[in-house]
Amino acid sequence: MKLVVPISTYSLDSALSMQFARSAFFAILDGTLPVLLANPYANNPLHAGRKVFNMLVNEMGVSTLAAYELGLKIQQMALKNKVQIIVLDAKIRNLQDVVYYRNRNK
Amino acid sequence: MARPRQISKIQSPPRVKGFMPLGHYTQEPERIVMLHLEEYEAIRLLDYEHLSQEEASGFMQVSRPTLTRIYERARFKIASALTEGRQVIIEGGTAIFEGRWFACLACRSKFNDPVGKGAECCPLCGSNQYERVKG
Ligand SMILES: [Zn+2]
Repeated sequence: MKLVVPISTYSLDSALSMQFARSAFFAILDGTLPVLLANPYANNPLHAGRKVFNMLVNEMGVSTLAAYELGLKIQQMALKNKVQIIVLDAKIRNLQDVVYYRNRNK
Repeated sequence: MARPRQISKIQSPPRVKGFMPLGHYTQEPERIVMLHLEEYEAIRLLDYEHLSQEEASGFMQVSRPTLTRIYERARFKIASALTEGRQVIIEGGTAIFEGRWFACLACRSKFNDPVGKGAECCPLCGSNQYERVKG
């Protein structure tokens, strides 16, 4: 299961971003180490959600979106495409916490 | 970092993305009022559907004090838009809608069941200790 989480800096210690579609970076968790990538649509004035969703789900094969907040547009696209959503609890503060919980799930 | 807020459930997305005033008004982006989805929903349930605070908090799956805070924020934003002639954009916030949701008792995250087969375990931490979020 490929999971993506929005992060605020390009670093394995990054805090999680409060936004999803306009987050500066993402971390994709599939194997042991997260893969980090910059969001090319972070500053797009229009349709950032649709473009980010297409990149992550259709091009990169992500099956689970995890974030504190997800726009309703993204939630609708996720439902339509049977992509799972995780709304993270506030006690999960950074990428390391996500990796920690994710590793318990193995 | 801002503290993530409690998520609330809304029944459906709003019909429009926002409102623009007539006449002279400022178009400066920093003057735009961002009405979050849970704030829109609180106004809709309390002022349009005339639900009680108890009923509305049940629909939105938040405590009554949380609903009161959301509602007060929404009222102030709308009042400032009307008084100062500011645009209103409805987006963002901490709302989820549609589908079956579950709350993990281990990592406390909430997750949905997009294929409708029922949840086996939390997709984040793998715990099978979770409960259904009513709604
Ligand atoms: Zn969990």
